[in-house]
Amino acid sequence: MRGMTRRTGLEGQLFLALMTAILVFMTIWILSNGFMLDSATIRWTRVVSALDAEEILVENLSFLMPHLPLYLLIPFYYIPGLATGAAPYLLSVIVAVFLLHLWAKNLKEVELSEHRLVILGLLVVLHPAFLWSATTGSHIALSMLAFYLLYRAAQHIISEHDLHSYISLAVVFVFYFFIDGSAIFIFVALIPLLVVIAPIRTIMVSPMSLYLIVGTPFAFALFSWAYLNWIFEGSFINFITDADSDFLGGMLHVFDYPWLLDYGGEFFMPLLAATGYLLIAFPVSVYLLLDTINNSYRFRASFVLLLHPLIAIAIATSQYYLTHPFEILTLVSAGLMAELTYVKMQTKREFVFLVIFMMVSVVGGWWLFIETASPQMAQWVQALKGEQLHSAQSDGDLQLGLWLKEHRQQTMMYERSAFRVIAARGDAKGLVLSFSHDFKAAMRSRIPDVEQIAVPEPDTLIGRRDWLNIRHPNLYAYGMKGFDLVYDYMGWRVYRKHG
Amino acid sequence: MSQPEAGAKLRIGELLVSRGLISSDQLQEALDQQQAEGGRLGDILLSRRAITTVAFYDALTDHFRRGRIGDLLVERELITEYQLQDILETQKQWGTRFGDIILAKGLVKPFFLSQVLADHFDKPNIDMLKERLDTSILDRDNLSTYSENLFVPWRRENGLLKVAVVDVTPELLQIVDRVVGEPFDFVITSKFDIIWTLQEIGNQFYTEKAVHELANIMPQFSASEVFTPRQLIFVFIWMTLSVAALALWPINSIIALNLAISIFLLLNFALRMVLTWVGGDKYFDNLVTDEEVNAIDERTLPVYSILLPMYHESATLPNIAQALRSLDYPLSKLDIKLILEQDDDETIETAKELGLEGIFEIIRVPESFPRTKPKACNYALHFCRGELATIYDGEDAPEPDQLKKVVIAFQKAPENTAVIQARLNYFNVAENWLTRMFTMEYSLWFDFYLPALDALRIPIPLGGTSNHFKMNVLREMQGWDPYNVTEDCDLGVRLTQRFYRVGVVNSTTYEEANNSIPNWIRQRSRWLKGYMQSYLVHMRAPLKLYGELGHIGFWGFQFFIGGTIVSALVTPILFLMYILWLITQTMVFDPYFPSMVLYINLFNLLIANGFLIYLFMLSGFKRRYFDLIPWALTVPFYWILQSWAGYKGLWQLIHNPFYWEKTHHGLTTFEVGHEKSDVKPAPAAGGAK
Repeated sequence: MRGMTRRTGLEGQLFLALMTAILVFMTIWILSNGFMLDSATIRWTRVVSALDAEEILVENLSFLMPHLPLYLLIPFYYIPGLATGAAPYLLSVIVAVFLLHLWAKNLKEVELSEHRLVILGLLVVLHPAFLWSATTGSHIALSMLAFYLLYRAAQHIISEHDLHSYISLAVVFVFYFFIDGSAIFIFVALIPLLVVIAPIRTIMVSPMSLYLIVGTPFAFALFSWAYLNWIFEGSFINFITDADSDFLGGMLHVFDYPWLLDYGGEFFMPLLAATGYLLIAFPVSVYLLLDTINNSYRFRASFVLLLHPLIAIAIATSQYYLTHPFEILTLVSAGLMAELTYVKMQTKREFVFLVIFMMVSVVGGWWLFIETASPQMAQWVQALKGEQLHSAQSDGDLQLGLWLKEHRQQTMMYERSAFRVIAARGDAKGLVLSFSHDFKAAMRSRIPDVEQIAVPEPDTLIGRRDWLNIRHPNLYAYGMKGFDLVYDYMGWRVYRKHG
Repeated sequence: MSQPEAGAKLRIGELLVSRGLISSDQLQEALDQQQAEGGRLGDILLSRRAITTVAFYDALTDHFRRGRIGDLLVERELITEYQLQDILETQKQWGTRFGDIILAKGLVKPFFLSQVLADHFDKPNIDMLKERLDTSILDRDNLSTYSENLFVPWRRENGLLKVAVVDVTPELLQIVDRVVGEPFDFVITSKFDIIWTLQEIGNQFYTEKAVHELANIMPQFSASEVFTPRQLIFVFIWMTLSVAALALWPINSIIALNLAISIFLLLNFALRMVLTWVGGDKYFDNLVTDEEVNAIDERTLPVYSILLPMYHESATLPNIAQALRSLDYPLSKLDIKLILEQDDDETIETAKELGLEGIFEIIRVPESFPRTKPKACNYALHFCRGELATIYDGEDAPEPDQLKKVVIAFQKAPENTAVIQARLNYFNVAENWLTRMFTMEYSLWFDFYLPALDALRIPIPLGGTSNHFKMNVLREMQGWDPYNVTEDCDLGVRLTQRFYRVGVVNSTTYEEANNSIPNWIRQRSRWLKGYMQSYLVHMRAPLKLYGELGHIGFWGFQFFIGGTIVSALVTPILFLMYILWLITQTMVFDPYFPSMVLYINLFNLLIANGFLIYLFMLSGFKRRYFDLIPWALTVPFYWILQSWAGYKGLWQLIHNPFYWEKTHHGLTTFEVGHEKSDVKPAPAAGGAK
């Protein structure tokens, strides 16, 4: 027989338990080896800072990064034991497991046996794109979930053409916008491909209606964000003009990213390069495209899966947003999962071919990932290999955080410089951070009316951008009238008010 | 002449004796009486109560019939042989009585048919307008039964009650027997004679019933009392406490109010999103398939009453008549009531001039207060003979297979389904901005919301037309509330409270969208006033309502009916405050918008309003009215009109609660049709009028 049996609920749960165990173990493993993703720590400290502030305000989260991942972190704030920054990793794993659960559920439509499910599941999970997203505490796990839903909606439009698919597509894009700054590029990249997805009859009669149905909620989301920026920051375009904005991607730091140095501002060259990346990391996409050539519906879906991320990468690069192609390429894993929910592997031969191509994808993916790794990706690989990244003793941020945990006086600091310090401290109670009235008042006065001031060394990259250093250029070196130096270790100094 | 008659008499008598229906002695006594006084043996037997009328005609069904009706009609050259064959073919298909088909096709006038029937049954044919009935023998409590079954006690002759009937069937005879409770014989008349006579005699009775029946039997559901004393006390206490709170804690009180409104609007939005998602399921577009319609056996279809309340709508009458003729339903099973106000001479004259087929009956509603559509419908309900009933407006164009779809939908629905609402939409979509907005709104309402309400067991506010009732339930509910100006909405909720289900069907009736803003305001203000009336009526005992509707039903009612009212009234205030703030950047509102309230309001302003606009787009998309989609962006202006109408409705609720703001129809320049009309107006402008 072909092994095409219906799965019981228990078998599905076993599959999920296995995948969860793998992901949890991997995450603990890399964290125990000292890996911490900066963006994850930033998100967590932002949540902690906002919730520990005198008044809990949405605007304290700032509008320079998408908010949904922050909101999802809020419940973890109230769980004991997660204060020092494990929450984003836990969230990532939960989202990844949820995605796998959804996938396993949708796979029932193609009557996949338990064994095959486990094999496909392992091949999906072991791909670096998935593993990176699920274990690094980044928002990419959420992006993958959104992309999975997006792709399923697109497939539904192709096969069913029902209203729910259009609504799903449009609503998922709204959520996507609040998850990931790159959503705009994902959206724009889909615009030309909508003609492949939508029924030709609708396109011929009224293409505009199609775009309005799919795009209006996204446009409203964008407008809402701009409006919130205007309300709270005074400028509609604050989130794309502020230098600290995540929505700018790598635009202001082109020289820090080899990808942008090579391809920034161009469209076709990154498209070509991304195609090469895709062929190496996901040759299975090409296999699926060729495999579906006789099935118009599925071919259209496979075609979109292949082309959509590439166009998105090219556009995002042309706008100097994308710092590494894997930021978007990882989404192909989610797209592939969605694609597989439509693949009925009728024969053993088909399944074996699929597995072979997926295995090749895993191998190619790892090779590419390691070869093109950014510094943090390299650290992650190192941690995965079991190499200890750095000791606690050599981590200045960690040391300051632990010190502040002991010395809980009111401390003024610029949280974008000190996000790892806050994470190490475990909370933000008593900290005077940049969004607070006290901080703004202190910045206006010549001598801040606070008990302690923490500043990083101004010669470092972080130190140069620290608002306190900008306001008081000699503070780190010479201190301030009325303040004594009470801490000086590994690039951080703390000054305390007399008496 | 005498010989055969005597022979027949003997045979009748012998037959009755042989069947044991009368004794030989009774026969002999009857014959003796006939000998002495003359008269027909049958009449004598009946008057002597030797046998019941039902048993008599049951036993002698073929003895007194003279020839076949069809042959008699051909013989009198009222129809041709070809028509006769056609009718016989139709009869096989429809499974109805020959005479009904004749009338339905308008081949013979009812008056002439009654003459032929009288000949056929060998009974006198009477013109009730000339040969008036004896009102003393009427039982006024049974007037409704008379009108519903088309018979009326006429006179007493030789001690035997004569009942005027339009047709003779065993079922009818049994009903007559039960109602009159004494021996009777029948005479034949035209159905219009009976209708007119009963209207003339029973005007007061029918009017009384139409106006007061609900208030008398189920006063808790009658809107005749706008505010109950308990509600007034509640309002008084609430206002007192509000004023006190405002005086003591002005800022906190306003914040609390602000928060309550914000959360209400948020939940209202959430409900609408859920409804759109649920209602957008393609399952609802295939509730009844074309295959099921094609497979239906027309002989099994029930008689269908169609109520057409009209007032000063002579222009639209030909259109609706044609639309009803075009229905894919056995015409002889249609019982169409043109419900016209007695003072509306213009429409009455037009109806007469049109020479409509016998299935159309004019019901003249005498002048009485309140002058509302539900009262007129209640009045006409006494004359309805259908197993199912529906209402159409003068400008309606239902899809031809709607009635069949409804019959199938009833068959597929749970037993307690009392009414099925068809979808409403407009044929003059692209006439102007207002019709576009109206079309999108209706599409959203009927294509998304109502199916979802049905699925979620939330009370459905029925639409003004194309709601198809089971007649027995409608009568059990005492019809519509004549004091409620959205009687349809009220009835939907009332049915749910009585544990009946309100279903939907995937068939559309196309109407004329209001193309004039003043006219639209009139209509919408009445609707919103009616919603307020309905809300007040059903919230008289909120806990009881909660128990009857359940959690989802109750809260669905609060947010769907209540939400419609609140959002109409509150939106302009919020918009006004917002615009004021936007222009002046004033900080005067700041204390009333603490962070949480501000966030909810921002969400409502940006996301909720954005998505509500999007829902309008979806409605156009689902209907494939693609050219409407961009127009959805202008819907906030439509909301402003809605609020205007809301305040007008509120004002009227207080000052003139039962006043029926008449919507003028026939203003469109588009052609009436059961599909979306072309963008361009019809060449002959005003053709619809």
